[in-house]
Amino acid sequence: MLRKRLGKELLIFDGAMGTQLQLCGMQAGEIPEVYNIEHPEIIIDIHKRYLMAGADFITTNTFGCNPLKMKDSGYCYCDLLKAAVMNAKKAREEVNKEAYIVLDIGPIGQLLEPLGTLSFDEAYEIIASQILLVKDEVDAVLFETMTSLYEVKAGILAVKENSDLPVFVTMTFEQNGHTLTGSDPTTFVNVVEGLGVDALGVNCSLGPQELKPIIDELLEVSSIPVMIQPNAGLPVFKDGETCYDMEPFAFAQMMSDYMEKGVSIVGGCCGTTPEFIAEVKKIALKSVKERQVKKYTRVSSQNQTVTFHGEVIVCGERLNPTGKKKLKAALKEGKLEEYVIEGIQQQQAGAHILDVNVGLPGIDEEKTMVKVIQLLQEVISLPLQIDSSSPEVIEKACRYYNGKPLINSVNGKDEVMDAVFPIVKKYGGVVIGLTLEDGIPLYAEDRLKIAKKIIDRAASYGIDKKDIIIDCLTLTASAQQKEVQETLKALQLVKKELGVHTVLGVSNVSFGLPNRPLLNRTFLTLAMQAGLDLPIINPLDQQLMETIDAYNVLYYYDKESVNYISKQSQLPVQQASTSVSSLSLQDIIIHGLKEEIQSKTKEVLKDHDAMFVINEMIIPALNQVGNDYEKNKIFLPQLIQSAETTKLAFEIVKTSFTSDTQSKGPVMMCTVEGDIHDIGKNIVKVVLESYGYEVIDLGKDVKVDAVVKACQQYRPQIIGLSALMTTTVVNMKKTIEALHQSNCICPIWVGGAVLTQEIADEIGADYYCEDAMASVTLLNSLFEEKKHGNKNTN
Amino acid sequence: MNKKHILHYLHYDGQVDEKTNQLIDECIIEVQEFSQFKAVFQKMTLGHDPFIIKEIHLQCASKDLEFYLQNCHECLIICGTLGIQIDQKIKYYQHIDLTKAIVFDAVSNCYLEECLDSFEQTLSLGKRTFRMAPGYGDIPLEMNKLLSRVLHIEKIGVSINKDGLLIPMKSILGIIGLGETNKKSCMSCVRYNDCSLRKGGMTCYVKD
Repeated sequence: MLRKRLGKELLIFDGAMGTQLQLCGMQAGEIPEVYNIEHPEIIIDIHKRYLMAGADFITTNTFGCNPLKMKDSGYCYCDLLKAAVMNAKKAREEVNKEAYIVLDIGPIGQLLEPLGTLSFDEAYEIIASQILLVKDEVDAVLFETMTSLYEVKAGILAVKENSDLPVFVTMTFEQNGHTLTGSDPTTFVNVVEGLGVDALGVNCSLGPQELKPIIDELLEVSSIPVMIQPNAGLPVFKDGETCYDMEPFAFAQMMSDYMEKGVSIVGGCCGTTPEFIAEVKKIALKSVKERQVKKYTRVSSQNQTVTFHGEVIVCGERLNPTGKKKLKAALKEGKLEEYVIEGIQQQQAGAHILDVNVGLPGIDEEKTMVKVIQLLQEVISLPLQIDSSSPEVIEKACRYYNGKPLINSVNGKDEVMDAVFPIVKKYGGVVIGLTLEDGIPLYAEDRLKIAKKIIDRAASYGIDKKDIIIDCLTLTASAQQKEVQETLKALQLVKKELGVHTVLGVSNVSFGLPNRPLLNRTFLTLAMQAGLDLPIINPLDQQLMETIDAYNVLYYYDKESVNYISKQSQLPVQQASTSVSSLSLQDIIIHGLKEEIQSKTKEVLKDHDAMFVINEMIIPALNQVGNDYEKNKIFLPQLIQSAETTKLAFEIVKTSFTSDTQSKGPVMMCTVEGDIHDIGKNIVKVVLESYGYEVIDLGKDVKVDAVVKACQQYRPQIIGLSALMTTTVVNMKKTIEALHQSNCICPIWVGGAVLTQEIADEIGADYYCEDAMASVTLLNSLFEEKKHGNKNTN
Repeated sequence: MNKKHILHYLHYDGQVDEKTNQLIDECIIEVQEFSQFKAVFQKMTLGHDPFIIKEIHLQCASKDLEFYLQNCHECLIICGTLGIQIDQKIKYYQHIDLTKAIVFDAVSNCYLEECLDSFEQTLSLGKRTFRMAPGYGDIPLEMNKLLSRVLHIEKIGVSINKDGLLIPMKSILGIIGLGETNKKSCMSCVRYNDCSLRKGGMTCYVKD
């Protein structure tokens, strides 16, 4: 059994396939996988030579053998894949019947959403189809040269949900210690170990010498077998060709050092040959050297890991609609970008992790949670805490989350643990355990008992206690004053008796009492002293954050007070000016002074009603900005500065409307399927918003049927579609056709770099606008017409 | 960095205001900090009448490409990128400061061109044409697929989606003719009459 040997016996992989094929005459632009069918003898011979050199594994010639990459090969990827496995089997039969055949899977070749356009599900399906074809013919699956951790996750799930095969994953790290998509070795280990792979490691990009810091880090943090397949040194360019000039003996010597450090599987990548593997075989140890690996609680995003190791870690609590009008409205109206803005603010304020909760009656929590996570992960690198009481929502969120999530939460109830722990185990999360069952026990000892029960039950699911954080539950001083200190006692007990990390939602303590911040920070100080590691708080509360900074100094976590000094030695932060600008509202808009607009708007609203402010102040200012722009007196950045300033003014003005009858819209906008260039669409959106239009923004790369569905859901007055490339204009046409077929009667206007009036006519759009100001003019005239039309009908 | 080019991308055709000027300076520093410029390239042999890139048997019916490469017997296929972190940053600023996002985007475009120009200089290519890319003129975008496979653009983190888009957005895939006998000049460009850069007294290429 391969799994039994892993981590005990030192095992040897083969070396490069591409290098060998080039030596056999493969030309640039040829597809290596085609050789599986057209020249099987060459492939079999390469496999055989590696086996004779001493390799325990044959890696099939299937690096790019997926339906996307094989599209232009002239063959079905299925046939190429099956032929590859047949070739490997023949080589095994002839040389070493004990050798393992490993299905080789390289990157799909397209970047995944949200920064790319391939969906997680599409990636999963592609890989699953490969696995299903040959799962009974191979002994393991290797994902190699991977650069995207998200794609790795899709791959691991595809293997595990469709077979029992062992999975090995090696990623490629650049000289800066990160993958091309920004993941570091510790994050990689934390995520894939959680997902239950059998071995992990590094291949390609660099030689054994340059890989040293990366291999050392992998060995330090990975508690599962580590595998390395370096290149034969760094590439050198000779006559326009890439070559590697390391000698087999030197390569083997370096590999020997890593075996001494505890590497379990060795092999080679670009530039290595059977001679390299033979040299490695000569000096290879029989068994794997034991390593001591310290266990830490770690949560990760794609490119950032938070390790629980002394210092207090802040979880931002603000991505939660409870008690927040703005987020409630955002969820109801599908304006999820509000979540992103709120998230960015918390990141800027110093949060380490962000709690995400989208629970609101009447919305599809599952779908919304996945969407919000994707939007947040597009721009925020902090790990997220998935917060829901529904196991179904937690499951979906964990599946689509990129990284190792923190899950909020389970409690001592059997049915809750039995529903959530399998998800934690499968997706490799860290989970918060609330010390409650049918209610919150009054006394600390009883909460300790529940904590113990949670940890024991988790263990029965194979979840290590490092992946549990216990919440001793904050009680409200106004209602249960006597019991507040039981929480503090419970913290101490849980820490001492169970040795796990602890979490508390801090601000509950002050509910219903005056000067809540004072109680919050006093309680926080006491709780940290009692052993609180992860306060869930509002990071925008500066005093609360400063309390934590001070604590980290006094407990010697902030060594030499570096963080404290850097923050406190800055000049005292100027309190946001309460004085109102002497400039007029119009001038503030014209000059785009965002920081001054809100106080000025409030001031003018004292003397004038909202409609007057809009019609007599804002609109004339905007008109001047628009005219100046058209006359080339000002340029795009200034136009947008003014538009963003006006948007802020509208936020204030809106609060004084008695009803929403004054808003114009809704206007629905998106960048069409396949296109990720959305800056143009966003420019038009902001300018429209500055003119008071309510815009529903569906985002970028929006699938045709998603536009149709949104049209039925939001019933917009007009739809705007944007595309940058000629190739995506095709999708614009498809979107328009689908809208027409669905009996959508609202007008459609289009824009984007390659569009012209002729193209717009050709694809069936009602209007074309060449820029943001033209869009404003169009919409103003359409809405004006409509208003008159309505009056006339009245 | 060449601020004139940045202003051109921002459609400035007059004096830049102080606020925008400062914003450009701020973005130049950030773009340089977050960019991870990488490039891959390969030399290929050209044949004429009919036009062909020999090693990859690429024949294409592009009059513009034939025209540009008419004096060359070799070409360099090249792909360069600033990396995905720049896309992420542009997206980030779109959420909190669209004005900065627009300037950041323009600065990134210029920086990519400048990085590729400097990279080209290190390759000792001798006399050559300027870079041209599939999608411009009548050079079919479809060519990207084959060229990307030959170059293994995934090694520098670039991919092409099913609609032919290069991702990261700040990536270029182009062809340079080698052994060009004439100096680089706007006179030999198909966009000669409608080029806004030329009208502003600039060129899209670096004079050697």
